[in-house]
Amino acid sequence: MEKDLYKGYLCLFLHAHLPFVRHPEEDYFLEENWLYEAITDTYIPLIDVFERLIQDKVDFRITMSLTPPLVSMLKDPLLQSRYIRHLDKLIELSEKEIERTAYDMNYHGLALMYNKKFIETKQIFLEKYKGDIVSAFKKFQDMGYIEIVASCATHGFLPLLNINPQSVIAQIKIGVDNYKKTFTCSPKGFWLPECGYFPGVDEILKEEGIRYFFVDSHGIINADPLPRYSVYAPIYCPTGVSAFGRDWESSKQVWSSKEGYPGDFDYREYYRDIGYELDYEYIKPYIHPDGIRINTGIKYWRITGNTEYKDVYRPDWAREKAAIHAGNFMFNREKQVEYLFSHMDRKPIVVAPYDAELFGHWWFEGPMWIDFLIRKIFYDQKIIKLATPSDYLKEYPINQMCLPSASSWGWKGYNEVWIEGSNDWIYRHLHKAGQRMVELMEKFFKEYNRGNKRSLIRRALNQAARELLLAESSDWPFIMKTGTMVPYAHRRIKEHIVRFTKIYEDLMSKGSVDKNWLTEVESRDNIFLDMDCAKYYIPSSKIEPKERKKAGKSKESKTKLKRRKNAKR
Amino acid sequence: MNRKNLEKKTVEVRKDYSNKGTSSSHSFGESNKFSEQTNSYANSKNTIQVAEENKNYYTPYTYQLPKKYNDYKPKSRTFVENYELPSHYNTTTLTLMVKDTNWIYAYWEIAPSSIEEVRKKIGREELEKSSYVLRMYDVTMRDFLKEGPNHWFDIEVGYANNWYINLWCDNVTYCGELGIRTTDGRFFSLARSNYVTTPRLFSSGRNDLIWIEVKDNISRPFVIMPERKPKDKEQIEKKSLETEDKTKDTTLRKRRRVFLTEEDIKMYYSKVFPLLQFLSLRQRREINRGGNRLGVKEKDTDYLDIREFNYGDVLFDKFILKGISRSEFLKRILLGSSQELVVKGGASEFISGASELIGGASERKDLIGKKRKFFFEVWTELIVYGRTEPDAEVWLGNKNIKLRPDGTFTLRFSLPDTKIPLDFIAYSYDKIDRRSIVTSVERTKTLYNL
Repeated sequence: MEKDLYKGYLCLFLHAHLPFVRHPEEDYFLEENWLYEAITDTYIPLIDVFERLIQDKVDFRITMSLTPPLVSMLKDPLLQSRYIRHLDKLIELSEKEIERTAYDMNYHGLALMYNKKFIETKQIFLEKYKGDIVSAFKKFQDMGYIEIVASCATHGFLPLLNINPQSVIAQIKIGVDNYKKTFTCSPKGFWLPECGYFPGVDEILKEEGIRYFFVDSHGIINADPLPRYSVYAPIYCPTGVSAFGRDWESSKQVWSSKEGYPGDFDYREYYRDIGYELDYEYIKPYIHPDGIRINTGIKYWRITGNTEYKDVYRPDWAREKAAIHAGNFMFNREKQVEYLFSHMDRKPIVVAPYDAELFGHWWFEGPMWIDFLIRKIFYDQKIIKLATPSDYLKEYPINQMCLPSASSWGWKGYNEVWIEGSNDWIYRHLHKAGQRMVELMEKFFKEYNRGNKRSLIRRALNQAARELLLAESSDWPFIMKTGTMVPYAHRRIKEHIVRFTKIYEDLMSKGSVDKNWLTEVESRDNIFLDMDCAKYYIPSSKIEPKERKKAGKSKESKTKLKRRKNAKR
Repeated sequence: MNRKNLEKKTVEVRKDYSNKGTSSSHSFGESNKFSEQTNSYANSKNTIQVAEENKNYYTPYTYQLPKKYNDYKPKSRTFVENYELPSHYNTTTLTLMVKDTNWIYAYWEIAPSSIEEVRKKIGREELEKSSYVLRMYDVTMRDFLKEGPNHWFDIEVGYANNWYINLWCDNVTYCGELGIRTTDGRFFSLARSNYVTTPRLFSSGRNDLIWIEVKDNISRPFVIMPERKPKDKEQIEKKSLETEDKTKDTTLRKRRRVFLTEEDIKMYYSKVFPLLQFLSLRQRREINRGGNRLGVKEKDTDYLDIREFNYGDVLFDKFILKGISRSEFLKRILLGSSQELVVKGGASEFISGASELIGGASERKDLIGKKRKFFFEVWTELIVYGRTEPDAEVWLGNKNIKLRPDGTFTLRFSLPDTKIPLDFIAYSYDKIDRRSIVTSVERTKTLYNL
């Protein structure tokens, strides 16, 4: 009965993703900090929020994605140990800061706050989860609080990879298989990287048993035929896989720089970091070893206003604002849901997807805001309820059949971010490599299947697939477009294409590769090292005869058995 | 981007990395210290248990990962790799990609052998006068191979290897052909591309309600009809449509579900064949009866037996096609995109407006903060240093100061507009000698922008 009081659902979706960055060949690698910062700022604070909610018996439902590259990095022993090193440096710096600010009441409290935060982070990371924080999210899923959806193998932007259908299939299938291995269950949902949908991708999702995926608002609004409930109910693709559309109103409240919460003057300023502000000699041991100033993660100032001058950060003020904003968000959703409910013959669902890294990393108070929001929704009202897409599909198994429109959640809503002047040159290489991968599997199909698991040719084919996958990541063209860290993105695309091409050429001409070289490449690009990545590129024409053979064999064996039985008689 | 630019970029990037390569051999800060620390902790058998027993929770080095996590040593640096991408693949290909509703991106490569073939046909002189052309075929809702395109246009591309193509409207299907066009208009095709369909810019004109139920299995799509009339009964049975009255949903009760077959759905969505061929033919014929030929030539083969499609007739006429005006549908089928040139002339304005609305997650960087343009800051810090016997003890207030092995010490304080008391006391190792130095430092009122 109580359930009926609610007038609609809110689906909060957090998309956690980082590109695969791991450089064992260097002792220190700047771009690896992306991972370390995200762990400290976002993933561990989120774990902390969820844990406290569970401890306080607050019921909640959150949908999340942890992409395969992120999972691979979080589970990588080398990166785990490097994260500890990173965190220890931070703790050391925060201790120095406590001392340095002893007579400066503005900053002393903040130095203490950071010190405590870092030490607690280390405690959660090491003591509680033994360095493997993926297990934390798995635990929350097993307990029924969060639902984790699968995503593509390396965050490939599918609408632009679709030139080679096999590349799309591999991106999806490896993503799903990696999910099954990590979370020991089958995924119900799928996050299309950058919400990049094109008609037909749902067919592959269906094959993998996926029930739903997400698209941006206009993917639903421009669907064919016109969806009756707009984005406030899912639609089924003709394949029966459902698409949930992003609600633009709730997105704007969090994302927008003008109206959005994260721009509030009381919140912490992201762009002022002691790595840039403090005396060079003092901060030198904690920035780039080459002496380049970088963010350390300790930031003492608040946004203050549209001025160059920044005032000192006041955690209590920011906390108060986070509570107000959580209340405001909830109030708006209540009003929205009430209005929609009065116009629909069913309960609406409001889907609010965000990049997980927004919370904590870019918006320092984000995890706090989530905490307040969930508690308020649980205690303070009876109009909206948190739900995952599977919850909704369980309640409403009948939905309209429409074909979503090709779309993405990038700037302008289509593919422009990933294909424009700065990055369009990569596609001729990506597509060629995609074709060549299938070519390789056509030629070496027998050797691949017959060979020992560690046979050189099998290893080479699997590594070729890994190089292709890593090159396909949507992060590289995105970085080229945004214009920060561009040389790194160039380097990565080239590195992987060149490594792939070397394997291809060596195999095609010599039928073999340099073993030492391969071993080194395997140790560097070790994503999915325990998976047979190449098998996903076997063309379907090659698979069928094998199955036929198998079927034939089983018939033979059956007849043999019969003969034996007859003989016995 | 042309090849020159690409090469330029490549050179730049390589420079960046060669610089990096020389400098990156520095070790990370105090990493030696770190590894000593980790080793010492890793050697203790059960690090985490030890830590739990230890009450002193908040020390930085209490927790460490087990040793196995730490034994990775970077491999030899002799591994050399170049970052030079293949400049060409020696094939002749043309690929189209969708950029957005109104733009297509094309890239291509022409192998010298392909040009050679054309040269043999038309001779070198003619070839030199000819131009490289990208011929774009609008094949919206057409079977290109059988029926040919709705229309086409040429773009002279010179020696470029890629092009952004602006289309007049959204939701159209294109196929491209790269070729050489001679001065007298002959076209020698070098490569044909894949097919691409641009997304629609506006919402769909069809508003039919077709439903699917997914529980353990996926139901066939169905439409919900009012209670059937006896008249229709025979007809429906003939067409082997299934009905179901058992539905529990109150809103659906007393209605029946008419399930659609896969074929129906294909027909509903198919842009090319077989439905739309048929539909276009059928509707063409209807219009022909009314005397409007729209300039479309009909071949004899166009006259298919309408009876074959009876089943589709019923569905599409009565239930499904109600949301789109027939003339609009027809125009689209017959003329592809070109007819909408005028109608949607203003589309580009819309997209620039829409872009602000649609802005997605990728914008976050620009959203959250603004870059500073000019700034001026002065910070003050106070450095206090001194020396005593190496084995002495120094106190500042009630805080013990750590001495370096040579007996010197340095303190560093952030110095705001305030007074910092500096009351030092030093004791000799046996506590017999005592020296005190009492002073203070004050930073007075700071004034801004006088």
